[in-house]
Amino acid sequence: MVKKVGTYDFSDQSGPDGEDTNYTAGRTHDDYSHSKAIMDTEHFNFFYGDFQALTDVNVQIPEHHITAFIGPSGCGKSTLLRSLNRMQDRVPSVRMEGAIHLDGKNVLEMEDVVELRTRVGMIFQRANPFPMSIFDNVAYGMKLSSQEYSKSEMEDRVHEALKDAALWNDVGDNLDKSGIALSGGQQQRLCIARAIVVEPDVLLMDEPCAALDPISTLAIEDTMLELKERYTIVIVTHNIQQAARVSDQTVFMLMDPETRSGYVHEYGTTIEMFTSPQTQETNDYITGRFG
Amino acid sequence: MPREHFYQDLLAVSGQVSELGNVVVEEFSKAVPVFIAHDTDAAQHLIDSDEDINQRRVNIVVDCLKLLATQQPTASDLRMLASNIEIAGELERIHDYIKGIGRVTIERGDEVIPPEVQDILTEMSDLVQGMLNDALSAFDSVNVEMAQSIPARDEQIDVLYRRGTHRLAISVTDDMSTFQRYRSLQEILNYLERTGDRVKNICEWVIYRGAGHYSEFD
Repeated sequence: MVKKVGTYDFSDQSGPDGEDTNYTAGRTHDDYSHSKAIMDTEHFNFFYGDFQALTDVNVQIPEHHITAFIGPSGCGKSTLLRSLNRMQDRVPSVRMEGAIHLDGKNVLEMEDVVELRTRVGMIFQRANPFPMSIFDNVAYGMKLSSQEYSKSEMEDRVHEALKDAALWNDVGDNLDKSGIALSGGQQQRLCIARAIVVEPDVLLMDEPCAALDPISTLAIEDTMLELKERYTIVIVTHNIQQAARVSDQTVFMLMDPETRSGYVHEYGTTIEMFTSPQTQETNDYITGRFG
Repeated sequence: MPREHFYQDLLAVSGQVSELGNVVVEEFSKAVPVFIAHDTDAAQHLIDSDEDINQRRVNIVVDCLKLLATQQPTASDLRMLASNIEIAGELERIHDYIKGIGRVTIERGDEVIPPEVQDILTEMSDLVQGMLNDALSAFDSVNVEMAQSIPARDEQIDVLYRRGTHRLAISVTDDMSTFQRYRSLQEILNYLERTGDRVKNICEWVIYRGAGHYSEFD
């Protein structure tokens, strides 16, 4: 595996004579070399029974940045993403080795999974609003939480979450409307609002735009760029250009052809990965030569 | 292979850069001999062909921009397109110098050029042409090592440039006609020296294309 975290010097904006040249390219891609890793995996292995789906994964997720997992089908990127908040806990025969840390604590050893998922939320490929009002959809996570909220506090936070998810302007005057009556893009925003209302540290997104039209996709991407100010985002995407547009860090995964186990092949800043990847395999995947 | 059509388009536009390079090398090889021989017809041809060179460069840039706009190239493909645009620009500038040599050839009188200066011009022209040829070979084969080795040869060109400039400086007398004559020779020296610099720029973009990092040569 080639690891290039923090090797790209974003901070040097000066020209040959030291003057500020005001480079603007790549400004949506932030330097994370000085950010702490809010999550990291350490020699992480994942098994379905005898089959090892992930082998020795060591990645760091920088806080308040967007990390994209990319790679061909079957490389284990969704498995890795779901492991970050133990979504597969109830899948029979699943076994995990190594460690996944959230602020230094091993999530594999956490007893309160609800607490973990409050801190590490998940957005799925297909928006999954509940058959209830927009307000109740968003408030749902707060009701599950062990924390008690007053009615006005709950209202404030639901409104805030809808604003952060860029849905307020569409639905703010009719929060009693059913969540399932919204358009696909709006439903996905509703799910984002539902995830962020409990103020998680990390937001996991599994192909969040796969079922959306191009305009809704770009709108969700804009929302992600806004959200990273307050949350750390990890996204799995088959859309390589989406990874290029929104992520600060790109993790490229591959499947070992012999063992069929997924592993991290190369990862680093998105700008480097999309302009000068270190390996032929990454170059071939990113340029669309295979996968 | 996925994206076969896109790949063919990439190869085609790189082929246009190679063709432009071949034309520029061909014209460059004629420039100094035309100047020395004071062949004004051939000089006029060097001037006239500049339009074709400019058009070729525009075509390359437009084709690269189309691919950038429609194919979202990344990694080595992206670097290939960026280097095509830059190298086409450098070749077009080199041809501006060739055109300049043609113009100076027509403007200068038919006075004999001092043999020592003639030798310097010929040697510089041969060296620059060798560098340009090799830089274009490095471009065609994406040979980073070769591209890295070429810029050092520019030092020889700079030495000849300084020697030629010195020789002309000490030859200038109070006589205005001598000044005019030597000024045209100085212009040719300048064009050749700048062409060497442009070849170094081409090497920088070949390295970027192949290795993914841009390193500037002094």
